[in-house]
Amino acid sequence: MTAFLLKRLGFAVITLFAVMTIVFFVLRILPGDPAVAILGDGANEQALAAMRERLGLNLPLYQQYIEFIKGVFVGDWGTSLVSGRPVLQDIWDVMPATLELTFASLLLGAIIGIPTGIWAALRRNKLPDYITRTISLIGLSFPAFVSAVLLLLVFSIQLRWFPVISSGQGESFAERMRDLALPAINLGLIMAAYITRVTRSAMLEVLNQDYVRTAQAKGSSPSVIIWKHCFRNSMIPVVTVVGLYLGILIGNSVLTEIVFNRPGLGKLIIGSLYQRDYPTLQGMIVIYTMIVVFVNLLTDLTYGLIDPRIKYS
Amino acid sequence: MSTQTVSNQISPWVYLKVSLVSVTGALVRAFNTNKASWVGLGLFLFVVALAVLAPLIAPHDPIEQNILDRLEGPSAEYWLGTDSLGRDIFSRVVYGARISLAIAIFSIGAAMIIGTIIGLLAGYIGGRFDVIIMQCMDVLLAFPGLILGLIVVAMLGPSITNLAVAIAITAIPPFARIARAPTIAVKDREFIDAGRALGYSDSRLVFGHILPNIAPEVLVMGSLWLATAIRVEASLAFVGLGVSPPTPTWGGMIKEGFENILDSYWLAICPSVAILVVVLGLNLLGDGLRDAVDPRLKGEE
Repeated sequence: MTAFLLKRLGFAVITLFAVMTIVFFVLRILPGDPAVAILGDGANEQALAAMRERLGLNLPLYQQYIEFIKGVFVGDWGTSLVSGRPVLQDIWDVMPATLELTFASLLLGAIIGIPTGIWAALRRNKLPDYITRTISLIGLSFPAFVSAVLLLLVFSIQLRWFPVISSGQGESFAERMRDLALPAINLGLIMAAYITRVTRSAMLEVLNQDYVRTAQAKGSSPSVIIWKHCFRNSMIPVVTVVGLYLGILIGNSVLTEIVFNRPGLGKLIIGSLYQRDYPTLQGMIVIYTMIVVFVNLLTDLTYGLIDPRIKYS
Repeated sequence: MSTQTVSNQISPWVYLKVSLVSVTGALVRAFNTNKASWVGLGLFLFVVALAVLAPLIAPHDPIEQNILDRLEGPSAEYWLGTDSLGRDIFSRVVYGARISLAIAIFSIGAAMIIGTIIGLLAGYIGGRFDVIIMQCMDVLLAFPGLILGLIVVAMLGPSITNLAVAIAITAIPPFARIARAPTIAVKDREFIDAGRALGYSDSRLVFGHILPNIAPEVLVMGSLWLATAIRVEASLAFVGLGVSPPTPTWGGMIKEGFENILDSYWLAICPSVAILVVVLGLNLLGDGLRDAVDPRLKGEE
């Protein structure tokens, strides 16, 4: 177990390094001078030189690279060109809002998706199965911003149940939940569509196994068969897929944050792209990579919890 | 000995023809397994027809402004109303289909070809080459596609070509994966051994014999990813990184509609419906075909 953990951690660090290296060089190889991009075409040479100095662009490339890697590890991620504050501080401030949204939508997706998927699998090729499959297919055909705009239109503008702008920074718990509701429902429903489909197919796979037939033959009740024999065995692919879909969830949360005007990583990265805030952009890519690598690690470790037969080696 | 000389004289075109016939046959059978794929194909072709025939169908010029008729509701003159600059929404939706489909088809076409070649080679060559290539693909796959697209487009600038490149980059790894697994399974089958015994070259085995076997799966994946590409393109346009205005794009129209959502919500609704129709069509198509191509994966994403 320890050996496995170390191996996975080692791999995670290598991946992180690889991505950081690629990001560093790609941001520098691409045409365009960041200093010109920030100050505009009309800037005089003096101002440009000062900006290059400030960004560290006049150092040799290898030295810039070393500074960058060193900075990431000691927590010096540079200073945002827009807010003038440390990049890490800016990211840290919006992190709770994004984590809140991500967890809420994952939870909602699992609560709706897993039971629906099992239900559909147990009634394969019957009406409930067709309905579930059709609705979930429609669900994953929605671009997240389209569903977000529709939800906003119906529940905030027409019915006025929720605020049009959710600051995500309400004082009381109730306010926070009210701000969270629509964005989380938006992402949660899309997540539920994905989870339903994976759960259904994983469950179908398990239901076809010989040991299920044996259990039926010895007269076990259907609920024992489903919950004791099938459920846990079907959860491995579900966890894998949820881990893989984190990328989709992150992308969708960017769109959701924009529609609901909610602070978070998504709004931060869009802002940094628009304002050519290179230090923030670089930091955002590092943080996204860290999240992805961490979740992959977590996914691997979850397998062992679900299925004790899996030996880490 | 004589058999070998005969078979070696067969031109590559014959192989291409035989391969095409077998792939087409498999596809038609797949369509009939799940009738929903016909519905999906119908929806998709409907939108393709709209895009191709846009100049004939659209009653107005999509970028012509009629400031006196701005933000009007549906009428005989403007079937789906007008936007904040008085442009005809129906015409813009019809022309928007061209942009969406062009970007989706270019990007997924490129990703399909590059990804499949990478996957074929990784699976066929195996060993360390396979490990390194697939590790790279996994890293790329793990990174959020939309974020990657955002960065690439923001850096290169939002043109149709750059959007297609950005989306293609995010779509290569899944094709590499889907091509690699069956290649590994197929390469140890008897007919490949037989080919090798007859002295066929590696490229002939890979492209003449393995590719036709994995083509149906790759094509099914392609239809599902076309749907994703259309979603991603619309999402990029929605955050302001689509093809520049005044060119009509669905995502851009929804963005404009969203800015006027309090008084004229139909601006956002019409392009949303268009996106849903084509994405749902492609998903129905790919989903139904996948049931047939790989029954084990029934209903899985």
